Amino acid sequence: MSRTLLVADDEADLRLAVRMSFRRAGFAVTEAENGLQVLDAAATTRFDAIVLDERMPNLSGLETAARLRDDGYDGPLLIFSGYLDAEARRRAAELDAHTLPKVDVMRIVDLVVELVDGTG
Amino acid sequence: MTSGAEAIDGTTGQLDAGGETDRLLRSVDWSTTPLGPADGWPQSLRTAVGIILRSRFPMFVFWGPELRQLYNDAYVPVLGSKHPRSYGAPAREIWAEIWDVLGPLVEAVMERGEATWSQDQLLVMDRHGFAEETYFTFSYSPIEDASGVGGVFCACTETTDQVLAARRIRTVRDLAERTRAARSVCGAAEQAVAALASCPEDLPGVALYLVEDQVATRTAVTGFDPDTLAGTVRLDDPTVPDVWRLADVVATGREQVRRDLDEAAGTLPTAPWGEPPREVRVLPIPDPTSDAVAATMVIALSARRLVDDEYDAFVHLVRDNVAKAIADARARQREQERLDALAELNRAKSELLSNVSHEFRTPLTLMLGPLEDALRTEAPVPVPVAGRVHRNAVRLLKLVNSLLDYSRMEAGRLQPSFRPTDLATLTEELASVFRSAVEAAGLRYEVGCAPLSGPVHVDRDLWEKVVLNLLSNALKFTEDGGIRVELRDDDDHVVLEVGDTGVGIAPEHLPHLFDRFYRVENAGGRSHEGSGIGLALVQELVALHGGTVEVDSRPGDGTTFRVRIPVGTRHLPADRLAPPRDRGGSAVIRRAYVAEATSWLTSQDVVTAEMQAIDRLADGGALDAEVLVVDDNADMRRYLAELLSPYWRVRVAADGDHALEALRERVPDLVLSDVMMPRRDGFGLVEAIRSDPELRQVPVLMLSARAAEEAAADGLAAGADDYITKPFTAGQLVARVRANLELSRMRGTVAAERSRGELLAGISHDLQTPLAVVLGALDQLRAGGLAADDRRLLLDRAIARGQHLRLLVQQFLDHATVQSGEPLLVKVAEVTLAPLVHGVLSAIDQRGRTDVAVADGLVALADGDRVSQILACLVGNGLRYSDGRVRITAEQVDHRVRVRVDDDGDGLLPAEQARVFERFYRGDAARGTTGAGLGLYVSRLLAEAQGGALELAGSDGGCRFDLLLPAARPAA
Repeated sequence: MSRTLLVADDEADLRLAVRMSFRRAGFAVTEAENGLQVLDAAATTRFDAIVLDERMPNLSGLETAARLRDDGYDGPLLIFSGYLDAEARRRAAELDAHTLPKVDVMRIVDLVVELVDGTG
Repeated sequence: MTSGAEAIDGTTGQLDAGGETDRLLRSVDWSTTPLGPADGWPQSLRTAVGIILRSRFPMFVFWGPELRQLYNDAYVPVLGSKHPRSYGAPAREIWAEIWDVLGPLVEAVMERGEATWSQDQLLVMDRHGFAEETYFTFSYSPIEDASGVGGVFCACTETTDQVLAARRIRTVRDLAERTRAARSVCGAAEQAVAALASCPEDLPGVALYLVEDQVATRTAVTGFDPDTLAGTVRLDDPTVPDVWRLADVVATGREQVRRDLDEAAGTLPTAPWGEPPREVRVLPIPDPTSDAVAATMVIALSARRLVDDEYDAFVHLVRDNVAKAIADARARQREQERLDALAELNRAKSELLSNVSHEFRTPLTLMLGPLEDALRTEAPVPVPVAGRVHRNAVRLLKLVNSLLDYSRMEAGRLQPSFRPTDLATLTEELASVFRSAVEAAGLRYEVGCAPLSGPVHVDRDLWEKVVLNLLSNALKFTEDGGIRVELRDDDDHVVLEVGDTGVGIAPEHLPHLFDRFYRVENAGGRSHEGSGIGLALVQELVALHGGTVEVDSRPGDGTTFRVRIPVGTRHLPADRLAPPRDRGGSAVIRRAYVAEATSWLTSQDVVTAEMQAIDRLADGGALDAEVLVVDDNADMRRYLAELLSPYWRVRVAADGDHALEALRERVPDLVLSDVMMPRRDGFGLVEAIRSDPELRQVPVLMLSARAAEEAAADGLAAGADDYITKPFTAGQLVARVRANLELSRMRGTVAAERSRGELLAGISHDLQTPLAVVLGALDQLRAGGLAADDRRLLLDRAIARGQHLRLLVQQFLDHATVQSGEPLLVKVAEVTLAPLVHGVLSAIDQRGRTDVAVADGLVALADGDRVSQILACLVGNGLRYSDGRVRITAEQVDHRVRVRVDDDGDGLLPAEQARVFERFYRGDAARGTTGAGLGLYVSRLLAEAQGGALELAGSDGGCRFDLLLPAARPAA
């Protein structure tokens, strides 16, 4: 059974590149444009990993991550962002969410595979 | 027939009580009464009657269904005039007026055999021809006979005297208690009457009138309806209604007993007894410290008591205690007034010291600074500087002289010599001393000192001080208009008037104007200098001449002082008269007054001239910062400017208001300000600077004439950055200004560092998303194995994002070009807009969120690449900040092409609209806007470089930007 991934970014171009990378690695990829779409999708489907852009309309990546944890989601979370200050990194760590700068986009598949396999 | 007594004798042994009731018992023919013949009386009745007859305690028996009353001699006084007809009569008839009280008690005994106990029971008896307030302590107990309870046995005692005495003592004690702390006569009167109000039984009505200056004023009332009493009574006017004849009482000091109450009937209280008093006393309340009558008190007496000696004594005890309360309160009130006056004098003295120290410090600074400088450099002192030093030394001299005059006057050690003097000539001479100063101030000066009818006895030196002080005052407080001096005969007086058209004096200050040390705060005028003794001195000096000084003033209209002194010598002490002498007065003192006045002349012309002089001073210096010097003293201003101008650019202002004007014109790097100035003082200036967002950052250094600790506390609390106290040396001042400038510059550098950090974060954010797209796409392409469609899609996106990166880099380059002061390069040609707009959109609108309406054949004279750059920025913003659609329309309006970009996002806040084209402005941080804040800034510069414009045309429900470019052809 293939692994499932939810990726959220308001930039379609970025979702395109990320989607292609993960499909190649054997993931079934679902896309969302903002935080509320993420919460809706996660309410009906259990994803093996969720990738969130930090800066999105209506709910930020960190706020979305916090709601997901509140709703009981315990899988790997990755916050994919342009710039995170120390306070944002601390909040991500509290939510057991990993962070990755956007310019490191080429590392994203390896990182998620490692997280998913690591948690079994 | 057996008499009652015999029958009783028969059962109880020989009764020999003797006395009246014994005789009555024996003389009544009991067989005609319901009690029946005495020998038929039950044993218990006979025993009871035997007991009471033998007792000397008031006792009685009620017997039988009719409750016939039998009593002993001791009980007779209780009955008053009811005796002897009440002997053997039914109790219900004897005690009809109190049966409402007694009936239920008797019933309890007769029907249920219960004994009763009543203590100090109020019984309003009619036993002396009027309803009388009485009190009794008594007990009813049953007397049994064969068929049950046959009657009531009662031992009773009248306690009226004790009850009344206790109540009256309590009232007087309460009166003393409540008035003990009263701090005013009125308060004591009110408290006294409040205490008396708690005893309405003896005092149904009290009205207290305080007497002062032949007027009696009602101060406190109880019982009487105040509306029916006169509020005030003029005691010296026999025509005013005076029901209580207060005028007589005050005039004679004698108490009036009033029983003719018909004319006062309407005012009399009926509470608490339900009937008005039959007697009213009007009592004088003496002032024990004098023989005068301090107050009168109208007291209505109880109609339920005979006015016996005790009652009379009580009324007088009340009077004495009220008198004492009022006298004590008056003493306390006077003591408090004395303390207040003392405290006020102390406050005024401290104020004087503080003002005098200020007055000393300014001239001292202006003398010490240049002298120290000269000593240090061993250079000769330039003549203008020496002139300034001299002028300030003379000012100090004047100040010292005024203080000396003042202290001599205080100690009564002024020794005037009154000489017959040609006052017109002397006054004209004194007035002429001020002419040049008044004219330099741009004021009219009218001096009218026509010869008087004869010589006037004055002390020349003292008269000189009167005139010079008034003139100095007039000049200080007059900025427009003129000053008038007039001397004239007025019957047996001469009158000197000094009038001005100055700021005037508010009415609340007028009564204090001649008080020692009194100064009107923030009065306006030319200067805030002054010790507050000038006018007090004038008044005292005029009084020494047997004269008076008055003032008329209206704020804004001006002030006139009018001095009147008598002619002749009768009003002057003979030993102080002296023969005529022509000379007198001191030229130095006169010069001092003028020198001081001249230092106040600070018209804007003068300040402008100073600025020019300062500019000349400043030529060629290393002037990388500007200091604004604010001081009302012209000498001090010039001195400060001289000290600072070798190092910095200097501007000057004469007070806080002018300083604010100068600050708003151009923000200096530092403000150096005096504290005490007319209109807006230094504290007011700091407050205004700190509350203005444009000026808030300007460092303020305060110049204070106060002691260091006070200056620090006041200045720093007001928001100054630092302070320096007078006197100071040139070196100290320059060092302090330099330190504050450097501190401020360091603060500026820190702020710049911080904003540079924010800028880099913004830029890196702008770059990351397109870079991530490009890198992600390249990664996929490198891995290969993609469908042809996917490969083309990835390449398209990567190229579009690469173009966006190019746009950002172009913005940075353009910004750098502008920063270096070079013009932006544009190559203007005919540009057809429709293909250009579509080209821009294909690169940045991935999801088809734009609507385009561009007329075919619309051609602008512009640089196509630059127009693309501007549109990419505008449309990119629109797509980023709205979720809906972005509309691009272009049309020709007159000779211009207008390209309009509308989005339907949230629009901009008003604060953002004003700043949206600012460099590095990134909108309200709370809205999560990002980027370097260069896009619109550079876009507008680019539009302008092509002869066009970029405007925010609207921002409610989305933003609307208009790009205006020159049209290639005239409008169709």
